[in-house]
Order: sequence, then C-alpha cells, then structure tokens
Amino acid sequence: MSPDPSSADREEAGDLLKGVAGVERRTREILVYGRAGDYLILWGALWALGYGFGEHLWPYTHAFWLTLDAIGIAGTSLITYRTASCSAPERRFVFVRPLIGVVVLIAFGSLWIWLAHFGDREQSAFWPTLCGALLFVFGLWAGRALSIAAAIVVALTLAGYFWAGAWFDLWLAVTCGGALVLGGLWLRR
Amino acid sequence: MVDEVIHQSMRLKIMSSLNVLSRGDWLDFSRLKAVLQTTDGNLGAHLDTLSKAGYITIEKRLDGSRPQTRVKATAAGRRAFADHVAYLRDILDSAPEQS
Repeated sequence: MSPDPSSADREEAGDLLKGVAGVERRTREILVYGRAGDYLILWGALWALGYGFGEHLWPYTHAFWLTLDAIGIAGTSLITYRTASCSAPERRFVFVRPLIGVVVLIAFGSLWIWLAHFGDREQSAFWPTLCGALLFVFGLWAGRALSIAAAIVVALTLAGYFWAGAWFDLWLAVTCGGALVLGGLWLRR
Repeated sequence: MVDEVIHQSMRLKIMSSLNVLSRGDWLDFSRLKAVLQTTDGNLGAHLDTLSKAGYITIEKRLDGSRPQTRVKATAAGRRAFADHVAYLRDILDSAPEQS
C-alpha cells in the first residue's frame, strides 16, 4: 500500500476491519455459549429432577427444592471457578458474583411468591418464566441463541400452564428441564 | 510498513479472535475453526505462518485421552495486531484523493 492511500486501499481496509469486528463478535459469542452451555445443562437437570419428583415427595417437597438449589449454587460456583480466565489469586473469588446472583434471584422470587400468595401452579410457572426473562435479556447482549432458548422455555411453560392440566409439573420437568439440557448441549458443541 | 504476515485476511481474523481472549488464555483449534468457518488444512497452514513469526503459540496435548490442539496470542502477536488495526484505521480515516 502506498503512503497516500487510494480508494481501493480504503475499501480493502474497510473490509478487513469489518472482518475483524465480525470475528471478535463471534469469538465472544462462542466463549459465552461454551460457559452458558454448562450452566444450562446443570440447571436443566435440576429442574427436571425438581419438577419430576418434587410433588411426589410431599411433605418434603420444599426441602427437596432447597437441596436442589444448594446443589445448583455449588455447581454454578464450580463451573465459574473452572472456566475463569483470570490468574490464580483472582480465581479464588471469581465465583462470588454468580453465587450472589443466584442467591438474589432465589430470594427475589421467594419474596414475591410469599407477598403475592401464589398458588402451587403459579409457583411452578413463576420460576421458569422469571429465569427465562432474565436469560432472554442477557442473550440480547451475549448472543441470540440464549434469547431463543429462553423464549422457548417461557413459551413451553405458559403452554403447560394453560393446557397441561394435572400434568403441569411433569410437563415442566420434561419440556423445560429437557429444553435447557438440550440447549446446553447444543451450545457446547 | 505493512506487516505482510498479519495483513493476509485469514491471519488477521485469527489474530482478531485470539486477541479477544484474556492474556495467557488458550483457544481450542476446533472452536477457532468454528469462529472462522474454514477448513482444518487452511487454518493449520495459517497458524504455522503466525507461529513462525512468533505471533502465536501452538500447543498439542492430551485432554483426557483426546488429542487437543490449542493456540494463544503472544505479547508480540498482540502488539502486531494492535499496530495493524491502527494502520488500517489510519488508511480508512485518511482524506480521499483529489482528482
């Protein structure tokens, strides 16, 4: 290229910079998808267990869900720790923010379930739609595959709420739990 | 002066991808291939060129029982990439020629 660039040079430079921007965006997406895939598989499996067996374990349903939440929080922390890209001293504290995030989410949901006196059916529908809404918004920045997965989860939950009748919890276990696990596997591929 | 090693379109894309990672982080060959949507042979040839220039490090290892190739940008590679992007921006920002 000459010191005084021609329009052809400018066109080539523009194309190369456009290519750079596209590759940077795709790389960030792939990195987010790889980590998000692990989280989706973990929580999908836990939802499948919770909705599949929770109501059969009465009067221990609540304790069962708390146990699953504790496993989910521990698993989320572990995944974050293992996939963190920072140096060793920082890595020790890298799980703190996701940990706080999950605890705040559970506390927020529990508070509104209590304040609004949700019935069992509404409670079952509330968590997947809440998590789906948050994942959808996150996906707007991080990658549209996450928003698509979230929209599917919310749509399946609402479909089950209105039409699955007495099979609603089983419906959530199979469709929402299954959708998250399959979505997670697809993102990781 | 144009850095001919990094100016080539595919090699510039490889460096763009590796530059997104934190310093010292590696990217799997398979993930890099997915990002760049190219073939094994094409990617491998360009990685060799970048490695010979000292812009990237290539490591072949076993991930469990599975052979894995991963790459990361060196400090020299990151500098060369930043310089070349600045060079391209300069060209783009320069005033059009008077006819």
